[in-house]
Amino acid sequence: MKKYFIFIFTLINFSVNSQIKSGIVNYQVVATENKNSELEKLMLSINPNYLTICKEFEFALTFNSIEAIFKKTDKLYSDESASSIGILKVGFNGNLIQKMDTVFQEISLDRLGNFIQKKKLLKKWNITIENKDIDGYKCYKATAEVIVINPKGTFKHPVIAWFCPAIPFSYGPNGFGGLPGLILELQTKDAVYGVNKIKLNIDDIKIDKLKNYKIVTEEQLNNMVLDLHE
Amino acid sequence: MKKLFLSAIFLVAFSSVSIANTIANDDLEKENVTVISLVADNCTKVAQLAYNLAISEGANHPTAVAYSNIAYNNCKKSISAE
Repeated sequence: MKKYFIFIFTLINFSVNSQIKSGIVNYQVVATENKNSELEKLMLSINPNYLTICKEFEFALTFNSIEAIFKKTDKLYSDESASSIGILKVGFNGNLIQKMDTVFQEISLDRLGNFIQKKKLLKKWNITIENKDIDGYKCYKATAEVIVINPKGTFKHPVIAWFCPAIPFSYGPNGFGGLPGLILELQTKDAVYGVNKIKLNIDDIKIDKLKNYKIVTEEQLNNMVLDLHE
Repeated sequence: MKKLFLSAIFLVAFSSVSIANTIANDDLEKENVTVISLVADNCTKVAQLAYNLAISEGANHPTAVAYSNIAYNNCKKSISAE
């Protein structure tokens, strides 16, 4: 059954691929409230606006057939202090470039400096036949798990992506991709990224570069942080 | 003679006030140092709490440290505003 769907997706992709060459997709985000989270209670005591401020965040995914960049739009927020907590909540650590199966992300760490974190694209998706319409595009549901290993154990955070085979690019918000179509909605543990504007086939599209920081792996970055705080 | 006597009394009085002020300033400084140490200690504890909560809820190290920094900076800011 799964093979059948992949075949259909590939077929659709092949027929549409010749038409779409590039695009810019804008996303907004809504933070998911978790009343059982003690961390959330602590952060709410610091700034009660930090969940609602997330609605002011705007992101743009600019892509062509080779690569994509996912950036947060620079703007002023109604509460700058809340925005610095909100951006952590929605899991956005810095601008990202997705190229083939690799994701490069700008990361700034207090007392350590700035880096480009290099990691493998999450590819273990379970594609389902469940579908819904998003902004006029038929999207299919795919599920996966983000695995985090830290001193308290191994955590498996579920992720749901709604991807659109009619836009046959394996990109998506916040470094997620690897599906046979662009992700138009992404639900993580703490946030839902949703599309709000799609512009396809823009002439002279420019994919910005990331800053010229030292490239490190996720493991190296974790070790540096651990060494600093031991 | 009377002038000399008055000058001597004034000098003694002035010295006593100065010594008293010095002792009072020393006490105040010691008190301030104690308060600053307590504040810094509490802010470190708040930062540690934020880090531990983030790790317990499945955050990676850089994210947990970022939460911890927010808690620490907010604590210091609140104390200095008081």
